[in-house]
Parts: sequence; structure tokens; C-alpha cells
Amino acid sequence: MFPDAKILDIDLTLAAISEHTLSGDIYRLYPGGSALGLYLLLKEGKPGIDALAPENLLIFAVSPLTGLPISGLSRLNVTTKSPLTGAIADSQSGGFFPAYLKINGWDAIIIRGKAKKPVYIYISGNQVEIKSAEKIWGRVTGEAEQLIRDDLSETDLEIAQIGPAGENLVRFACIISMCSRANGRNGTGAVMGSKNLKAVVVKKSGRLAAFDQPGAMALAKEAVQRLRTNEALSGLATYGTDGDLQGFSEAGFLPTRNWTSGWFPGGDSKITGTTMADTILKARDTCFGCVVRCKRIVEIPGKVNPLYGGPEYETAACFGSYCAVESLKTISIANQLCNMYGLDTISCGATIAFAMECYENSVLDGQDTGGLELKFGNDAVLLDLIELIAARKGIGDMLAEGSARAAKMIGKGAGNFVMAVKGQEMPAHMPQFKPAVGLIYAVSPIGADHQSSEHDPFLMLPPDSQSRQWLAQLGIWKGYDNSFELDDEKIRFAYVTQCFFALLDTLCLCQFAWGPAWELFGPADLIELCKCGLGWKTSLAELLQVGERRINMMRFFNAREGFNKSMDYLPARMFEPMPEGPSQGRQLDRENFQQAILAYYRIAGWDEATGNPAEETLVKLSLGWLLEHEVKNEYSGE
Amino acid sequence: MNIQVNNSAVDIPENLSVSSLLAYLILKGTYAVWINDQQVFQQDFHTRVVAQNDRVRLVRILGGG
Repeated sequence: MFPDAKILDIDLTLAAISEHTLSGDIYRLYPGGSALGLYLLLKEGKPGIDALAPENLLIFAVSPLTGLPISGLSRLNVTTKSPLTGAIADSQSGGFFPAYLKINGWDAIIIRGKAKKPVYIYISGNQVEIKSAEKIWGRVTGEAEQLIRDDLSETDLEIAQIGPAGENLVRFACIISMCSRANGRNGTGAVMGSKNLKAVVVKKSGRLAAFDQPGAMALAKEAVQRLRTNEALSGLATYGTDGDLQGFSEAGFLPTRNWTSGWFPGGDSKITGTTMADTILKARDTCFGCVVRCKRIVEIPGKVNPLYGGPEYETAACFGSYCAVESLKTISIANQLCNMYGLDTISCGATIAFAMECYENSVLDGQDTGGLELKFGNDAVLLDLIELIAARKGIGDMLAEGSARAAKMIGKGAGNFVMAVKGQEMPAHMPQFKPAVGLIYAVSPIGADHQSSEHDPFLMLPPDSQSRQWLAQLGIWKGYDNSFELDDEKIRFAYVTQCFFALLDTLCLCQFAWGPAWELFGPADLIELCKCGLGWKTSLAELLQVGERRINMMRFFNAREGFNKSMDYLPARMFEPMPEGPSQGRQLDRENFQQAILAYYRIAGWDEATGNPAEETLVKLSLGWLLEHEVKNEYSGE
Repeated sequence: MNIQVNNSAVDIPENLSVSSLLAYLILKGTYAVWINDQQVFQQDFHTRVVAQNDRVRLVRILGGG
């Protein structure tokens, strides 16, 4: 039998704590993480509310598999309405907090209302308390962690918190654990701050047993064997995600100077992962139960504290090439500031790059910036701006709204410099190079996101490669000799892998350990995991439907908020020829891309006129309950 | 002996397999390889020997994250 979900319900307005159960037969349809969060939000939330109002629900969710000691099984999903996009917010993080939330017996936490004064929540098994955070409010994450430990006279804790950026309602503030693991995107930290909630703290004790413990242990040991021969993961473990940065630039597809170029010669080698490994890398870190150890810990004496981890590829690109900064030291300090203050490094770096381009084009001037010179390559101003954004001071107050809102406030054509979709800044994978990724940027319910589907280049590997063989198990049969095509099979690849990644975000599996191509464990292993982890005898058919259901719930949520196909687009710059370097002349074809979006809708079973799920698609996915009047509200599928 | 690698002339020792060629060129990461417009299967990386005047195309598979 599928287990029931145990849900903690905390009303901060009333300071009331309760719990309820979601029966296993329903939980099986929404088996954790993103899908569970969406189910609860759609059941209990109301459309049309302000994301920063007490009425918004903030939902932490893990899955029935979380906390088993197998690589990639400690991920937390946070679901809410995004203050950045106005659409669904859905963000994942790793570390140890997710595992211990589940080990303490909870599948999800619904957080409602707003506390009168700053508080934090402490969970130790069934003991749940709302405690004062008045002395911790305003502190950066490293200080806050220590203060919480002192307050509880306890060191064995895992803490998911916001920093000052979340307290100040920066629209791209994030939730941070271990001072280095972020629920980065969509501004979930601002929602937490709007509730006067500083942290959720779980006692770090206990362990979970799998349904089939020998089977689970065999899977855990298998990870060690596979890591030895998995080339992609070995590289990731050694050089981190930043290991590919120079490669992107050499191919001409590293977003540079706010996406005005894809080429960062000279700078690329200074900020890439191999350079990090040779210079400032102090150690590699990992998450609960994981053998990959992909996380970076860097140290620069007197400047960068190892407590705050180290830059990933996105951080290195967004504070590096996006802003034309060539210093790994500056990037590492920027990363540290973001982890201290609780800021999404992608949106922060990209918003600063937007501001730099505005300044370079005289759309912003010294009067607007308080005398700061927002020129590309200005290391010092980059760090100044992060401080100002976190504190909402000076020009930071406007930039804290995100680049799309800031552009509206600036006017003067600043909108031309916004590199965002649905208001969320684009990550550092160029659609001109990876058009399937670009398609998902455009249609993703959460705005531009690079971790929502598999990436085009893996289709270039030979048919006997692990990537191609695993993708074939999902019905993806076609290979390519370049990554630039966006034909029907590539669109199908985008959709099917989006469903698979949606499943991963539901089961709270790390996308570096579990995936459909190059990862440690693939589709067949997922079935084995469900069997030995839970006694759940499932199939790829059921699992992919879980993922598809999740995507449709997100799209339905957005439709209720007034989103439609007009919000599925890419910035105009993607359709202009790349100006220089190895990718010179490369561009997306606008007509082809528009047709691709329509083809995507058809594959997804969405209405081509609105871009929203057709009613029959919702019914097919057992989501007919969304069409009941109380839930449907203003939804229109046609 | 002379071969072409990504349209550039390169001088390499004889009898290099594909995997040895990648090591010789000090290329790190995952690569897709074509020789004379035919993709080389991964199972053949250690056995397929690069010949004089071969046109070799090497594409690094870039993930990021």
C-alpha cells in the first residue's frame, strides 16, 4: 500500500499548529515534492491574491523516498505563488534539511498567514513549536544559524532560513540551508519574509529504513561503482558545474554582457571550474547520502568564508560573463554575499547585468545610480549593488524588484534589455545553442528555467551511449549531429524530458544523480528505487504521468492567475544574429520557434488558442477536480 | 601523420585510437566524435584507430547546471 502523507499545518496569524493526513491512494497521484505542494496549494489557496500577502500559502514538501541513504534523495521542494513572476513558484534545494524533515516524520508543511513578530518554527518529531526570532531577524544566515543553535541549546539541527533579503521582500530572495543550499528561483524567500518567518528548524536525529533494506543498500553501493565509470559525473565531481564554463565560451554560447554576446575570451579561463579547482577550491561537499560530492567549498583568506560554499556554473556566469567580470575572487565574494543575504544568484547577477546595459546605453545615469558607475566589468560596483539590493537601498530598491519590473519603472526602452521570461531572468544556457531548452524557457510555468528538461547536446552522443539508451527508454529515438535543430522530434524530447524532470521534482530526486541521460541513475533504476524504497510497484507509464500531471497543475494555476500563451516567448535578442566569436551569425528562427511552441501545445494536449490545458487533458490526468467550480474560478481552457 | 580536427590540420602520432586522440589533445569532458562524417560509437573509442588524412570532428557535450 502506498503510504499516507503526514502534513504539518501552521497558521502564523493564529499561532496555531495542527496536522492532517493525505491518504495513500491520493498521495500516489501526487507523490511528494512539487506535485504534493501544488495539490495542497490548488486545494486550499485562492487565485488573484498578492504573493506577499498573508493569504499566500508557503508549502515545504519532500517525498516518501526522501531521507533514504541513497545518492540524490535529499531534496526539498517549496511551492507558493511567486512575487517575482506572479505565477506558480516552485523551487528545489538539497543538503541535509530535506532528509531530516522526512526523518522527523513529515511529508509537507503548509505555512499560512503572518506572524505578528518575527518567528521561527522548530520541529523535533511530533514536537512543533513557534519560537521568537526577534533577536535573529536582520542577521545574515551564518550568524542566524549560530543564534538559533544557542537559543535551542542544540547543535544537531538543520535550518532552512531566509536572510535579510527575504526579510526585505526582495522579489528574488531565496530560502537557504547550510548557508549554501538555496531554493533559489522564483522568490520563495520573499514569501517567507512576508510571513515574518525567519527559519524552519529540524532536529537532526534518526534514520529511515527502506521497505527492502538490502535492495536499497545494493542501490546505494551501485552508485559508488557507477561514479567510477560515469565520465560526465566524474567531471562534475572534480570541477563542479562550473567545469563547463570555458567550453560554453569557446563554442560561442556563454551569455556575456547581458546576452549581447556569447563569447568571453580571456575572461572565460579565469572563472571556469578548472581554474577554481587549481586556485581557491578548499574542499568538495555533498548532500545527505550522496557519493557524487559536486558542491564547491572555496576559501579566500579574509574575503571568502568556506561556510558559504562556492560558486556553481550559473553563479560564475551570472556574476562573471553576464557582467563582464573576470575575477573568480569577485564572483566568490558575490556568491558569499548572496548566501549570506539569501539572494538567488541567477536573478541577482542577471538583474545587475540588465542595469549595467541600461547604464552603458545612458538609460540609467549617475543620478539614478547614486553616483555608481554601472559599467560592464566593474567588479567593485557589482559587489556594491548586491549589498544595496539586499538592503533595498538606493538603486538597490528598484533592482530588488527584478529586471522586468525595474524596466517598467525606468522606461526609456529599458524593456529591450530585459532577458527574462514571465519576469524570471534567464539562466546561462543559450537558446540559440540549446533550442529545446529555449522552448522550455518560453513555456515553463515558473519562467525561464534550465533544470526543467534535458539539454539538447546529449542527443549528439552515439546511439550506444548511456544517454541515448536511457532516452530511448522514454521513446526519444532520434540523434543529431548538431544541437541547433528544433524539429518535431526535438520538441517531443523537450516535452517528454520535461515530464521526467517534473517527476524528479515530485519525488524530490537530485537531477545530477537521477535523470534520463547522463546521470548516475536512470529510468529503469527509478522503478527499482520505488520498489525497494517504498514497496511501490510502479512503471514508467505511471511515473511519467505523475510528471505530466504536475506540469498541468502548474499551468492550471497560472491560467487562474491570468497567464496564457502571450507569456510564452523569448526575448527578441534570441532572434538576432550573434555578433561575434565562434557563434557569429547564429540565431533562432522566429517563425520556426513560434511553430515549435504550437507543436509543444499539441503534444501537451493544450489549447492552441490560449496555451492552457484543455479540459479533456485535465480529465485524462485525473485532474477533473480542478474543473469543479470552487477550484476553477476564472479558468478557461478554451 | 596529418589529420584534420574540426577543420584544422593537426599532426599526431600514428596508431592513435579515438580515446588516445582525445587524451593526446588533452581534451577533458564528454565528446561526440565523427570521422569522415560517420559518428564513432562509444564502444569503439578504444579500438577505432585514426588514419592518415582522416577528417575528425570533435564536439564537447556541454551540460552546465
